[in-house]
Amino acid sequence: METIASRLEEMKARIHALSPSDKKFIEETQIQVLRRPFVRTTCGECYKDALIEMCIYLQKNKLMAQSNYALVAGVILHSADYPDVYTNANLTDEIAEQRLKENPALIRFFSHYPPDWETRIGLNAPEAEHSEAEQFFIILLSEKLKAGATKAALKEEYKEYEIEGKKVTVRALNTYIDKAKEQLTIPNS
Amino acid sequence: MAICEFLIKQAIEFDCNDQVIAGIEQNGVIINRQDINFAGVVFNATRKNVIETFPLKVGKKGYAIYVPTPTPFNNTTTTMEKGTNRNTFTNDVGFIILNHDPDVCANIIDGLANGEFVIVYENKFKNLNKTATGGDSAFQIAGYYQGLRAETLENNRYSDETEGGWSVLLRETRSPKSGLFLYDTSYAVTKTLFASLLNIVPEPGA
Repeated sequence: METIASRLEEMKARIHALSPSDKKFIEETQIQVLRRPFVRTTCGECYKDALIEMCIYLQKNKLMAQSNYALVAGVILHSADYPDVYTNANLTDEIAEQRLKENPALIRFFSHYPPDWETRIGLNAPEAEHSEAEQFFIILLSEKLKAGATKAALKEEYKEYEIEGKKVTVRALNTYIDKAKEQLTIPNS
Repeated sequence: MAICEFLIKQAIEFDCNDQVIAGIEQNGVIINRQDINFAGVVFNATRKNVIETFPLKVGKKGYAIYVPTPTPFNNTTTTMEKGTNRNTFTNDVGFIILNHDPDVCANIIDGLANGEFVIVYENKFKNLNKTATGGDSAFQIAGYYQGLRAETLENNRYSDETEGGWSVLLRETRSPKSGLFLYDTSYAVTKTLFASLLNIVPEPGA
């Protein structure tokens, strides 16, 4: 980036005599600096304008704003609910994730996105922790295990046990006993 | 299955406040038709000759066409073509390439000669004062249905028109619609969408 900035400043000194290679550099660099492609117009000043705009931008913004998301060509983020228009030039992670959270199917319009985008927008939320009642039961089981009870004995004793009005299933009871064992780090029995 | 109705649905009038004008702007976009993500194209809910989202495949982009002449995209026409069972439309898009070098020949002309393309161009007539959908005349798409294929590719070293460059005419035949437009909400939004077809995303870490 420092190389680009210094070269652009050096070109500013001869802005009225830009060479073909200077113009090519401006065309190729604008997309990196301003995140939008260079488009020639008929005004005759487009290269000078682009050069000045990039120099000013780099003076104000030491680092280019980099988003982890990028849209494919031919797509902008815009809707009746969100009148602001977002392209790769102004797209931020926050905006991208806001839109994806509301409509995850939009991911098909992104060419770049972080591998954990689903987690970022809450699609793959971590499993909820045990409730307080469940945690109390696990502590109870660990105390029983500590006192010498076996897994089989606990399964028999608590086969009709209820947590918050619901009967604990066989599978769930196995899980609670395993959790209790983890707390005590007792070998399987 | 629906029965198609071929009917006139509005009056044939002249808008005194926004009169139609001839001509096309100097900047257009040409896209390799195989680079279009057709599954992601979104048509307007009620107007089926208006495209609102025109995504390309990941990693693909359109290429700018810049024609700095008094009549850019000259010979761009739409003509009805009589058919056996129904009539369709032929779209011609003409432009001049004011250049001639090995890269132009290898990277442009050779590709144009045998490929299929879609071109999006901007009409000088924007229709900005139109109620509700102002600006929807601006951006037009040719080649979407059948692809534009080369009809004429000529380099005349003494041509006054091309000044030694190339004359190009691309043609799409049997298009079912007389016009296909790119439009989303307003002229300004659509112009941004049009520019995004040239999207070049910097490589991460660039």
